Amino acid sequence: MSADAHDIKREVRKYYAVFAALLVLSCVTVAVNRLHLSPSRAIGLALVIATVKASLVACVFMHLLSEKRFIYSVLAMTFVFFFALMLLPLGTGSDPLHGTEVSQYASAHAGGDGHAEAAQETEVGH
Amino acid sequence: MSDAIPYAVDIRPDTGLNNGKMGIWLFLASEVMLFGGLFSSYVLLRTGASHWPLGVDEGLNIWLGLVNTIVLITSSVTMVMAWASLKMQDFDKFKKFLGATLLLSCVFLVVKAFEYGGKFAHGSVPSKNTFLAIYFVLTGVHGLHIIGGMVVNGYFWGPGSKMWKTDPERFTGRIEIAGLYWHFVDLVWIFLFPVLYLL
Repeated sequence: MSADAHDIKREVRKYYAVFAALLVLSCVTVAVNRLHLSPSRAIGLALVIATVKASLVACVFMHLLSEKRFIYSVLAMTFVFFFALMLLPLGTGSDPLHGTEVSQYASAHAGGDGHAEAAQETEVGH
Repeated sequence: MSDAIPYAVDIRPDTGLNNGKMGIWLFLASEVMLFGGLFSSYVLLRTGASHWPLGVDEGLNIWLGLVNTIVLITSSVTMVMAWASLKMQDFDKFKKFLGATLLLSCVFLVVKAFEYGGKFAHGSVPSKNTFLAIYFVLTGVHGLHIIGGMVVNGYFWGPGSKMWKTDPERFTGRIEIAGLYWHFVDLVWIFLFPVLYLL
């Protein structure tokens, strides 16, 4: 980042404004938690606030707003793989092994009619 | 300077960046994947569990978490101010701001140590349940990153600051790079706090 002293002084004002915004948003995160919203709403809202805070840090403190194209392309690729990682747990629902071995084991240890339940679970799993 | 590593200060024509800055962004990309893997594990464990406790149920103190969030955000501001001070040729201010960053990192670790101590005293160890296991892994790895940042910042505050007299432009670049890492550590905590303490 090439900036003369005058530009830096202007940047400094921006840093303090972002600092104030981050403090307010941190308190808002806790305040929202006190509203006892439904779990899905609470998780969604908290993650939205966290994303706004993270964006402020990245864009202003890390100067991402005025960076070079190379950095943007590295980050774009990183976030593709990051979101793939985040979506990975969803894939467990369509796992063909889901509901077979684990259920058989659980049924056998529960002492019930393990084979019948396991067979049922296997069908559901497939 | 012809024997020195090229593009330490000068801009590479192909990337538009100096090597240090390009290197730190590639490193941060790998760090996103490290924490991405851990967050993905958290989602997998949580969605697969029949019951998932709230942080407060496991003895986490929201207010201590909030204090640490504020401490880390403040340290990010002092870090960027340390860099801005060098840009404004004010070395004394730089020392004060980077010193404040170091002090705030110590406060963060002390608060975390109190939290860990309280949990261990009540038998809340990683082997107790899945929530505590992932809590200790996530905060532990994050804490190690804090310690790593403190070592680097401590060096630049102490012996490393001599470079300001010989090569101020390169030293300013180093502080910018250390700052990018420090802001990333702050950014990770911004997600860890709600995920572990509130949700």
